[in-house]
Parts: sequence; structure tokens; C-alpha cells
Amino acid sequence: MIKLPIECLLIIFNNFQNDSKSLYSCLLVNRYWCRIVVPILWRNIGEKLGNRKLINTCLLSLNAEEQVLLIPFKIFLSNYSKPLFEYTSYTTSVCRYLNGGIISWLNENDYTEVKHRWECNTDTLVNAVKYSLISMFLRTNERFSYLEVFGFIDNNNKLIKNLCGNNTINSLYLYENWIDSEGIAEILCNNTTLTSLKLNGNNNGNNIGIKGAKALAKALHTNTTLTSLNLSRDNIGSEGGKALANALYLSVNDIGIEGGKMLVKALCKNTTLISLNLSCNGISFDERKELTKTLHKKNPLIC
Amino acid sequence: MDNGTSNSASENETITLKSCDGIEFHIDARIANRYTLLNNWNGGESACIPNVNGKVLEKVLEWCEHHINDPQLNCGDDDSRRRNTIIEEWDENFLSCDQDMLFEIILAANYLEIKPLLDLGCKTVANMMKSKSPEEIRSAFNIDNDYTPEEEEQFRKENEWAEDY
Repeated sequence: MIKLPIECLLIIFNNFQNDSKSLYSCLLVNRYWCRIVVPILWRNIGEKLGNRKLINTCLLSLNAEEQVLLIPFKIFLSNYSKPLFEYTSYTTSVCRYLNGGIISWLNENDYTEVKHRWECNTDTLVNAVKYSLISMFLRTNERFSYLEVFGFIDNNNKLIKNLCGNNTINSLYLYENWIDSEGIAEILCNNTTLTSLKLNGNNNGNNIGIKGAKALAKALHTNTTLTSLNLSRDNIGSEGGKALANALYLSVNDIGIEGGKMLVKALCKNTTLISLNLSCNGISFDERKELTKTLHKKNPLIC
Repeated sequence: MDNGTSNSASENETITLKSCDGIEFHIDARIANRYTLLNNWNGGESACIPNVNGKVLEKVLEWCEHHINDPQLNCGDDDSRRRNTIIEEWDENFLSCDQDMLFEIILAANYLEIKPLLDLGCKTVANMMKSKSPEEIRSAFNIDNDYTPEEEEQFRKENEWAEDY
């Protein structure tokens, strides 16, 4: 076969961006092809993290520090050989399927001494594996940009501290976690790449509350990169709504009349907002009219 | 987007291209105008194209001539290049040549920066690999396996998740 240069092989293999099976075959052809295929195959694994075999390879990429967190649960990964590539250095996104993948891996590998079967996203062992893996993804890729964490208990603010030191993520989605809301505000103060932050809560987890909303509001004064913020079901209340009057995306938070008025004032001054949703916030008809007038002046704001 | 008919060269204008083995081709100047590299050589009455032999240049120019009135895509736009995934019947027949010629065409398109032809050639090769096992790909393209058995086994294990997608 005539040897094609790397730029031609890249075009060929990029035809398989949504066909991991064909990429897998190409990867096994020879060493030269393998070096070109691995970055393409591992770039978009986010949606595939529910696969226990994928979780297995990711776990083998943990360093000693990340492995130590799993030793109390009798998971000894140091007995296995290291992967031939630092695969995860090409991975740019991690999404919520990670939970399912971890649970499936634990059940498949019979880590059932403590429990008959792992099912819950917030079980201690699921939580520990999740933190180890997220730490590894954050450590190994300098271009890591998208992180979704779902059902996580952040003991001792470990994740918060880790994220405070990160300056690559642009989309951070923390759904129904037990995370210190003031810590999240700290991330906003430290991070200079984040453009989208979703902190959807439920009755238990991610309850930002009034205190957290005030901390976030304060952080938003210094943060200059965020263009979208989602605080749905976070119980920030009327007081939190007022404090967050210049925040970007508020939903189901009962901002109330006062919060609505403050929002109108804030919008007149805001220059970075591009996305705003005010659904289910108890804003009166007059305030709505006032807001609409303000928004018309603020083209291209999307409401 | 340029519709390909607004090129400054007129239909009757021709230029002469010479392959690396000295074979001359008289082509419609609008072809040279469409592709930067050919255009750069279009300084005099004839231009010499190193690295591409007559047999391959003839095929490349045949393709260019057939597609002379195609709308011009923004070549730097990877998305529009990727979206263009369907291979037309004429192109399919055109590239139903022997494998060496197909690869020579890809190399020439890459060298001459004829991106639509490069994408087409690469897509044709990708289609030839699709759903094949590593062994079948090696045998179809006459590629040596330089993995040690242990190494191959480990790569297989570390990436076997990909078989599910």
C-alpha cells in the first residue's frame, strides 16, 4: 500500500467520528494508525461513559493518589498494568452517564461485600469512584471543557477545591449534588474560562438557598466570563432573587415583585448577558412590560 | 459562496500544465482559477507540476473538468466539508480504479490542495474500511502488523468498549 501522510489518514478516520466500531478496527491495524486513531476515538467518550468496559480502562488511568481513595473499599488497581496510552488525555467531556457506568462496573466486578447490589448514585463507593475518575479527567487533559456531575456528595469540599484550581472548563453542570454552595461561588471567583453554569437542584441536593444565592451574586460581580446561569429548583427565595438580580438564567425560584424590579434595573446596566429565562418566578404584568421594554433595547439578548 | 461561474477567466481561455514526467495538458483556465495551487502556477503560458505524473494528473484534471460548475464550498469550513457525505454516481465510478491509483489521486489532491477531491478520495477509502475487522483491513490494503501479540491483546482489551458503538 502507498503510505498516506498523517493529514490524509486523519481525514479518512474522521469519517468514523460516529462509528467507534470502525475506529476500533483501524486502531488495531498497526502502531502508526493506532497513534492517529486513539485521539479521535477518545475525544468524545462523554456519552459512552455508561459502558463498564470503558470505565475499566479509565480506572486503570488513575494515578497513585487517585487510587488511594479506593483502597478503603478494597479496590486495588495497582495490581493491573498501566494502559498503553494516556487515553483520557484526549477526552474533553464527561457527562452524567458516568454514574451508570460506575454502578455497572462495580456490579460486574463483584464489589458486593458491603451491599448486595449497587444501584444508587450517591452510595459511598459509587461516590468515591466518581470522585477519583473526575479528578483524573481534570488532571489528564489540558483542554477538558465540559463536566456534568450528577448525584455527588462532596465530602470536605474536595471537588470544589479541585474545580477552583481548574482553568479549562467552559461548561459546568452540577445536578442534584450535595455541594457547598458558597464553594461554587468560589469556583466562579477563581475560574476564568467558565461560560455556562447549571446548578439545578431538587428537594435534597444542590439546594443553593438564600445564602448560596448571595454568595453567587457576589461572585458574579468579579466573574467576567459567565454568560449563562441556571438555578432552577434551588430555593433561592425572594431575597436571593434580589441579590442575583443581574444573574443570567433564573427559573422556578419565586423571585417575586421586588426581585423583578431589581432585575429590570440590573438589566439596564448589564452588558454580557445573552441568555435569560424568567419562567415561573411570580413577576407581575407591569414588571413584565418593563422587562420587555428593557430587553428590546438590549439586542441580541434572548429571553 | 461562489457559484463557480464568476471566475475571472473566460470559457475559451486555456493554460498548459506539465506533469513531472513532461506530459502536457491544455486545460480550461477556470479550473486553475478554482484551485489556489494550480492558480499560483498559472503565471506563464505553461506551468510544471512536480510530484504528480501524467497518468495521475490526467485523472485529477478529468475530475476538475467534470466539477467545473460545482458551487465552491468554503474549504476551511470543516463542517460543510463533513456534511457533504454522499458520493455521487459519477464520482463513485470515477474512483472505481485500482487501489494504487486511488491513493495516488488522494496524494495529488492533497499536494495540489484540491480539497473536495481529497475528501472524496478519503471517504472512498473510509467506505472500503467500514465494518471490516483489523485483519480484513490489513489484507485489503496490504499493511503489515507491527504489534507484538501481547501489545495487540492489551490494545484490544483497553478499547473493546468501542465495539459496542
